[in-house]
Formats: sequence, structure tokens, C-alpha cells
Amino acid sequence: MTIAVELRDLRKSFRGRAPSAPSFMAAVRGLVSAKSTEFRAVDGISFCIEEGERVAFIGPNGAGKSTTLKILSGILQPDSGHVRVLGLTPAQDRVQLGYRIGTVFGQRSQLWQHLPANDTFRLLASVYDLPEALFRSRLATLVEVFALAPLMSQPVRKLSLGERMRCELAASLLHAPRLLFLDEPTIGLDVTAKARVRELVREQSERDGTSVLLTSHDTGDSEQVCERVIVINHGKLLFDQSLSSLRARFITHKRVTLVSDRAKLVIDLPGVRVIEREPYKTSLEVDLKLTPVARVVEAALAGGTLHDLSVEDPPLERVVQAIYESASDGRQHEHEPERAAS
Amino acid sequence: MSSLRFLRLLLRTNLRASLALRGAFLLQVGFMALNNLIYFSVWLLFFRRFHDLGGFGIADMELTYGVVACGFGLAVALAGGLRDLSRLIVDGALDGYLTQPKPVLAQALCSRTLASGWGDLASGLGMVALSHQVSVAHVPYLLLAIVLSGSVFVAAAVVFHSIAFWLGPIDSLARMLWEFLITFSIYPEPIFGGGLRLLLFTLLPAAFSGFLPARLAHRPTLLHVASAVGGAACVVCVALLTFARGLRRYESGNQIGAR
Amino acid sequence: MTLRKYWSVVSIAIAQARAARAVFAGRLAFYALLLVMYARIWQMVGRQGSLGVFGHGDLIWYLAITEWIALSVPPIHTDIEADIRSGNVAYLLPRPISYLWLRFAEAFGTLLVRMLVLGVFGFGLSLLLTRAATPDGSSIGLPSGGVLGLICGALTAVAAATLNLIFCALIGLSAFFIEDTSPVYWVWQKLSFVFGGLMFPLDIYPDTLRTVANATPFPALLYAPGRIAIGAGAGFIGKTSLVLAAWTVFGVLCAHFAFRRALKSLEINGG
Repeated sequence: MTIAVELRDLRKSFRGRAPSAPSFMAAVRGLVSAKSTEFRAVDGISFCIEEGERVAFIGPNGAGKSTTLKILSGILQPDSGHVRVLGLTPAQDRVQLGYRIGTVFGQRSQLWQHLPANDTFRLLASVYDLPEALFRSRLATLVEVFALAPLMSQPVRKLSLGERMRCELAASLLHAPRLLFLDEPTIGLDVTAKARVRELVREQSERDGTSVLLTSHDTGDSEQVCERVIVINHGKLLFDQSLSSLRARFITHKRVTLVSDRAKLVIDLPGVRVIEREPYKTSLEVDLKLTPVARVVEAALAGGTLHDLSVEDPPLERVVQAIYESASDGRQHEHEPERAAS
Repeated sequence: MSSLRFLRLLLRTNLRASLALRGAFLLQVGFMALNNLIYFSVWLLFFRRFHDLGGFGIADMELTYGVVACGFGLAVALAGGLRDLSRLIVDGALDGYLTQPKPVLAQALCSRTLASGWGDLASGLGMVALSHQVSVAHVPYLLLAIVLSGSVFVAAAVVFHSIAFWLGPIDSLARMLWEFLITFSIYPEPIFGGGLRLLLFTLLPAAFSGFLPARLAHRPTLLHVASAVGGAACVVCVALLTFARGLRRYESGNQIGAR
Repeated sequence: MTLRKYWSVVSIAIAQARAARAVFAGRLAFYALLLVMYARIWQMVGRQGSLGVFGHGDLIWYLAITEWIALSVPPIHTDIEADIRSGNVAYLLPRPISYLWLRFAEAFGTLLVRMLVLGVFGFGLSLLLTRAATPDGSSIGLPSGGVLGLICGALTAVAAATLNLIFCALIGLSAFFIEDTSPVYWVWQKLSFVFGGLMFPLDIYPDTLRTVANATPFPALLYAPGRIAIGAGAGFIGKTSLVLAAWTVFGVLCAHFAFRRALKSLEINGG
């Protein structure tokens, strides 16, 4: 299998001043004075992504996520470390890399708002030097797959957010990039639109072998699109494994919902806490370290007839939060780097 | 070259976007032309009453104002992004252009337009015609003069706004320098002496956006052509170098208020 | 007490304007540039001998006053238009303070600060420039109206700037009825330059143009204060005060009715 992205011991620090009041004199003074602070945004990150993989890149704000992605796409130069994206060095081969990567920013549009999406597509064909015939055939495929036909003649600003995002996605795939960067692709979308976008990304990757690197604060994006999760915080890599092993390692509680013929069901076992109680329906949080789910179900059956039973994992947010917390607890503060306001 | 073909398509798309709102477009063009003509009538009154300023008369004023209006109009119509460039830099909006394999500056400048620029161009041409200072045979020189003036406006704006790469949000400073440049370009040449004149050939290149192109359009001697072209070329080079340097700093991430 | 409410808004605006130092510096620099350039122009015209009834010192002072007014008026029309476009105006309506007066009070605060700073600066610079302009350097460089003329001119200028602000607010309100107010503002501003005699007094204008100008509010906005500063009789000052008062009443009534009509259309259309 070919490697799409290869990072070894990547480091990037920012030397800057904390943004003071936006005044010209303060800025000039800042230029002259020698005082500066150093902020280690990326502190020795290493990972590999194979072609066709879909990876979620998770971390809180200020974790070093965007810095890493900017280094990978050639926008930022690293201080040290080995970086290879699609066989190229991003900092040196930025233009060449540009032909092979695609980007979708949920919060910034690359579509011209007052024109139909078709005009943006045509402009992009020129950006990526696509010959006319190839552009036409690719566009036809994308229009079909993303169901864009009824949208092509309207100005982009008249489209709904979901329709616009589909056009953005199609625009990013026009030049058949080998690697797709997605930054908050479903932000602001309703449930149906989110599901649609996630489905399209997943299918695209499966069909053409496009590698996907996704960052999102919506863990649903990560769960439904990606099979692997990289968690970073404070510039360091905390976790890099498949989604399933993430769950297995960090899931310590499960949510059990019971519907019985008894108006009030009481389960008195260690580690069992009631979350919600309605007549005939009880939701419990079970600490797996203290009581396995099977024992809870046994106790419920002993108390009456069970009409319905469901066992759920906690939302991925809680899991990720647990990872951040466990990592912070384990940190030693011997050399806390000075931080510029981020 | 593919970059030139791309630039042509970019400009065409830019123009189409501005025409998409037909009503607003016509309003901006019409009113800007009207705006310029009304403003110019103040100078008409001035020269009618006071005859001339050190030999500089109404016809000279019409020609200079006309050439500058045309150059300025062309600049903001085709490279409308020049007005917000410092904000793009500070907001990190150049990132999107950096991931694409085409020149960042061209995209940043030509993805926006100010429809009023076409009004400036129309009124400028009218004023040049009114001045009777350009013979039919010299029209190509007039076009050259307009292109040179426009290039200097764009280049100067790029330099002013590129300061943001080093000093952060300097929006009001850039706007102030820009207004100075425009003002200096249209005021009668003889009033500038000594130190001020030196300024207009260096830090605020109004000489290259205003009087040199106007002189070139009126009397295209070799000296006039060479000085106008040479000057404009210098300003453009400085702009390209400054932006390139600034972009390198942007890519190193070490700017005030790192995003 | 309603007046106290409005005054507190004015004082906030004053504080805000003090904070926007960078933009201020730009404005000061531009003012200085214009004064220096025009001092040169009038000096050259003076040397050519075609000045006429006003001395070049007076013409510099005149311009100092007109530009002082022109540069002090804040762009209230863009603020109002932005509120209308963004729909913000709907949120501001239910407040126990009239939206229009709220915006006006804010802008008025900014106006006062600008006039104070620009005024002191302009006064100092004009003294310097006119001193340089007099051939023997003997005269102190004050305008022909003397200190009294200058004070009357300054007071009239504040009233004129306020009237200017009222008209700008009207332009901003037109955003309820038209797509884009900027083009209207440009033309209004340039008309005020021509018919308000920004560059030189209307006395020097051809007769027909002067008659037309006097039918408009523009002379009251720029020309009158400048003319008073360079020496106008008490009669002129009296007439100016009446004209300013009349146009102010007119402007306020227009604003009141325009806003009323706009609110009605908002209710009908649901915003």
C-alpha cells in the first residue's frame, strides 16, 4: 500500500507577541523591542496515512490541529521534522502539491456567491489546468453522483446550506485529488444534510481511493466517515488508532434503558446510577468497572417482565474528553512553555 | 502560459459576478461618473476664475484628472481585491489561495471588483476627450498612459497593504496612504516643490500614476515614454518583491497575532 | 429623564472616538495635507496677481473651516444602512429610546470629538501657514474677521456640521427604500463641495451659479461658517443663523416622517 501522508517528529513553534490592542504605535514598538514569547504549537508529532484511508483529526482549539494541517497542505513551513505528502515536500513543492490535494472549509466558501456553481467549476478547471474534455466528463460524473443538476443554473447564494456544501464538495473533487482535507464540512447543516455529506465523502473515498483527512468538532462526522482517529492536544499526539479500539479502551460506562411492566423499577447494584425515570421506563448509567451490563439485565428480569432493552455507548465527545483529561493528568509540568494568547 | 489564460478567465468571471446584479451595477457606474463630473466642476470654476497655476491650465487639469480617473477606475474594477488586501492577510484568508497551484496575489486581487471603477473609467475618458490634449494619432499613447497609471495604483496598494504581513491590522493606515496617493495624483503638478516632489517620486508614487502618464499622453516623446514606463515598472517590481517577502513571512507563521 | 439617556450615549461615543486613534491620525494627516497644498495654491495665485477681493491668507482660513466641517462629519449613513440591511434595526426598535435619536446621539458624540481635535490642529496649522504666506511676515496671520470672526465662524461651523449630520442620517434612512445608499452619498457630498463652496467662497462664483446655490442647503453647510470667519457683517451672521435653523427643522421633520413611513412598511412586510 502506498503512503499518502508521512510525518516524523514534526515540530513548529511560533515566535510572537501576544496580540495587544490593535494600534499602530504598539505594533511598531513591538517590531523594535526584543521581547518575544515562544509557543510550541506542534511538539513532535508522527504518523502515517495510507492511500485510501479516512482519518479523523481531533483536538480542542489550540491543540495544534490547524497548524499540522497547514503544514501538510504547504501553507506553513515546519521548524523541523520529516514531512511527505503524496511523495512531495509540502513547503518546497507547494504549487505541485496544489494539483493533487483538495480542500473543503466549512466556514469559508470557494464558490462565487452571485454566480451559478457552474462558473466556479469552470474557473477551477482553469486553476488545475484541466483539458476541456476531461473537465466536462468529470463534471458530468460529479453532477450525477452529488445530484447537482437542478442546482447548476441558480446563483450560489440562493441555494440552501446543504446544497451549497454539496457544490463545495464537488468543486474540491473536480481535479481528482489524491488527498482531501475537510475542515468542519458539516457545520451549520441540518441532520439530513449532514448525513448526505458524510455519505458522499465516504463513497467518494471508497470509489476512487481518495485519502481523507477530516477535522471536525462534530464527532458524528468522525464516526460516520472515518475508520481511524488521531487525537492531538498541546501539540502532542495522544491517540492514534482505529475508531473501534478507541471505544474499547475508553468506554467505561454504558447507558442502559429499560422498559418494564413495573411502574417503578429499582436496580440496587454498585456503579448503577439513574439518569432518567418515567413511569415504566428507566435510563441507567452503568459503570462497567463495578458492574457488567449482564448483571443489570439479570436484576431487571428478576424484578419483572422486560418489554424493551437498549444498551448504548456514551457519545464520542465524552470519550474524546476522557482522552484529553487522562493525558493532561499524566503530564509533568517541569518545562511549561510560555504561551502567547492563542 | 496557463497562468495568463487563468488570469483572463478570472477577470472575466469577476466581471460576470459584478454584472450579475444588473441594477446595482448600473447605479454604481452611473453615479460614480456623475460624482466625478460634479467634483471636477469645482476645478472648472477655479480655472475659469484664476486662469492658471504656474502655466498649468484647465486643459492640463482635464487631461490629468481624466487619465488618473481612467487608471484608477481600471485598477479597482479589475483588481478590486486591493482594497481589502490587508484584511485578507490578517484574517488568514490567503490560505485558500495558497493550496491552489496559481499565483496567490493575482487571485487575491482579481476575485473582487468595484463596479464604480467603470464609472470612473467612463468619466475619465470623457474628460480626456474634453481636454483636446490628445490627438487621434496619439490614442495608443493614451491607452498606454491609462494602463501605466492603473498599474501604479494597483502596485502601490499592494505595497501599502503588504505592511500587514509585518505589522498586523493596518487597515486604516493603508486606506490613508491610498487616499493620499489619489489626492496627490490629481492635484496640479506645479504646486509640488522640493521635498514634496521627491516624495511623489518615491514613497507615494503619484508622479507615476498622475503627471508622468498625463504628460506621456499629451506629448509622447522618447523621454516621456521612458520615464513613465520605467517608473511604473519600478513600482510594480517593488510591489511584487514586497508581497513575495511578506508571503514568505506569512508561511513561516511568525506574524503579529498568529492565527 | 430622556435627555440624560441621550447624553450618556453621547459620552460613550466620545470615549469610543478617543479610542479609535489610528483612524484619527489619518484624518489629521489628510487635513494637514489639504491645508498645505491649498496654501501653496493660493500663494501661487497671489503671486500671479489674480486673487481679487480675498487675500490668500483669508482663502487659507476659509478652506481650513470648510474642510474642518467636511472631515468632522462621521458616516452615519453607513451605520444606519448597515443596521437596516442586517435587520439589526428591528432589534433596536423596541428599546425605550428612539432608534434614530440613539444613532444620532452616537454620531454627534463622534462629531464633537473630531471637531475639537481637528479644530485645535487646524487652527494651529493655519496660523503657521498664513504667517508664512504674508509677504512681509508682519501680520499675525489671523483671518480678516479677527478673533471674533473666528469664534463666530467656529460656532456656526458646529451648527453647520450638525445639520450636515442630519442630512447624512436622511441618506442613511433611504436605505429602507433603495438598494445602495453609497452612490447617493457620493453625489450629495460632491454637490455640497460645488454649491457649498468647499474650495473658495461663493462670492467668487458666477452669478447664476450663486443664485442656484442659495436655493439649496449647501451654502449653510460649508460656505457660511467659512465666510463668517474671514469677515462678514452682523447681518450675514443673523441671516445664516435663520437659514441654519430653518434647514435643521426641515431636516428633522423629513427624518421623522421618513422613519415613520419606513416603520410602517416594515410592519407590512414583516421586515
